[in-house]
Amino acid sequence: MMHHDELQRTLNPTCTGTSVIAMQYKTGVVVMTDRVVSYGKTARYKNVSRQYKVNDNVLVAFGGDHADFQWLQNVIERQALFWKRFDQEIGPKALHGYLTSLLYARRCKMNPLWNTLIVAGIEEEEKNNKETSTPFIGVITQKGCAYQVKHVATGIGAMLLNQAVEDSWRKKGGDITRAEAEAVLKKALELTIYHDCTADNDFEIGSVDSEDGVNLGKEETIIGDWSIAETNCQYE
Amino acid sequence: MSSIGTGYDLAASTFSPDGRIFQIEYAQKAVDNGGTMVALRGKNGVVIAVDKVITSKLYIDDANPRMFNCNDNVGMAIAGVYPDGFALKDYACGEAIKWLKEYREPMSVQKLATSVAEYIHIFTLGISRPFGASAFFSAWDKKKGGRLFLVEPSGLNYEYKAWAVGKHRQAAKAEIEKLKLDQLDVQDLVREAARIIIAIRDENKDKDVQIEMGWVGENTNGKHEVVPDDVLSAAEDWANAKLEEDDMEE
Repeated sequence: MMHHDELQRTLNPTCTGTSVIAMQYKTGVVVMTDRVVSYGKTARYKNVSRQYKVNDNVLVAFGGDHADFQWLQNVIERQALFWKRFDQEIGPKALHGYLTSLLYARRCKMNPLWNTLIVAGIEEEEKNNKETSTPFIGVITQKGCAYQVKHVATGIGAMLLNQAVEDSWRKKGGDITRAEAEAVLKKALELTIYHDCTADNDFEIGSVDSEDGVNLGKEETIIGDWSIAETNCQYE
Repeated sequence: MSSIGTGYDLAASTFSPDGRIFQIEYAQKAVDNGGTMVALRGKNGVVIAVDKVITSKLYIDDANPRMFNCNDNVGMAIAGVYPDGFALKDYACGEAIKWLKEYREPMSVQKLATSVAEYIHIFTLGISRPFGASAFFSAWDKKKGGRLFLVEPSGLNYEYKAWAVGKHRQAAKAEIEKLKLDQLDVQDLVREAARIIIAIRDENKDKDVQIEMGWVGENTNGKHEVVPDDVLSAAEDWANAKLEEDDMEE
């Protein structure tokens, strides 16, 4: 029985997105998410984007609770409008910092936002000077632990893919083209559909480029190679 | 001024025996004496132009702007006492963000104008002194077309086809009435607004002035923007040439 001044928190997320995989290339960032929102292990909602365009320089992708992310989209939208009052566009670094504080404050209230966020974009050191602008990927965990990376896989992808993604990155010496980065992401997605039962083979690759700005990717499908299933003894 | 010394002009909450509120009339005078502001609604957009008074040569270019965005779609132009207008602009922007939080869609121009008008009324009557500023609100979308509102120090809020406030408003309105507004597109409005403002300037008195414009229409895809410098100076060149031409004919 609950005492009158106790309160109960949500202890589990309900509708969730799984891994996000992101990688920098010479002049931008590519971000891949699949297009399913799961209810437990059921693929409950298909054809849902897990990426949100903030402005021409910033893209946010999420893993974790979908309702929390929809709420966050509105928070971000308002913050972007607030910046416009001072004739400024919020950049990825600033938004990463803002969301870090938000997620940390929420976990301190024992009421965390159930998301892992990827803030991807182009950080402009000087306005409209492409020479000095740099790609940016920032990660924020559910508890507000934040860091910047050149490439990352979140969620169950962190266990499965970070090594594979990093190996591919190092093979190219960190100096890779957009097409190569996308190829690495697609290979990584193939690995998630083999190992992560909540991952889907419908996906999208969003990008932020210093020339083209933000592009939310088109939906794509990958089949993969299932010949190995023949040798799996667990089913007939 | 018959109001002075009667005691009926000391507070915005006091009526004079013939039913006037002098404090509000004084506030309106602050707008009437400011730089002329012209607002025009054409066939596919709205343009607002102001003859901004530059009070010091030491200010940087484009200091103290009078054209703003409340959100992407709604433009706001403030006439009269600058800090009063700026406070109204801050309030309007706050309302726009609040609306976005509660309804998850952008606030409409009519809702913004109404909300600011209500705020002015309550603030004037119950909180402090009147605002010595008026605010135009402009927007355009495909469905409803151009929309233009003016909120006054009294809290009055009307929708207009076109209007003018400030120093030379009477002359400006006379010029506006000659235009066939519903035939003019946004580019025409920019030129005509520049022409009217330059035509009604008092060459001897209005010296340190600068035109500032905001536009919203089909050409900007319904987004309100400050008119770019090159468009503005082209319009001023056109206006000067046109006025010279008209002088020659006379």
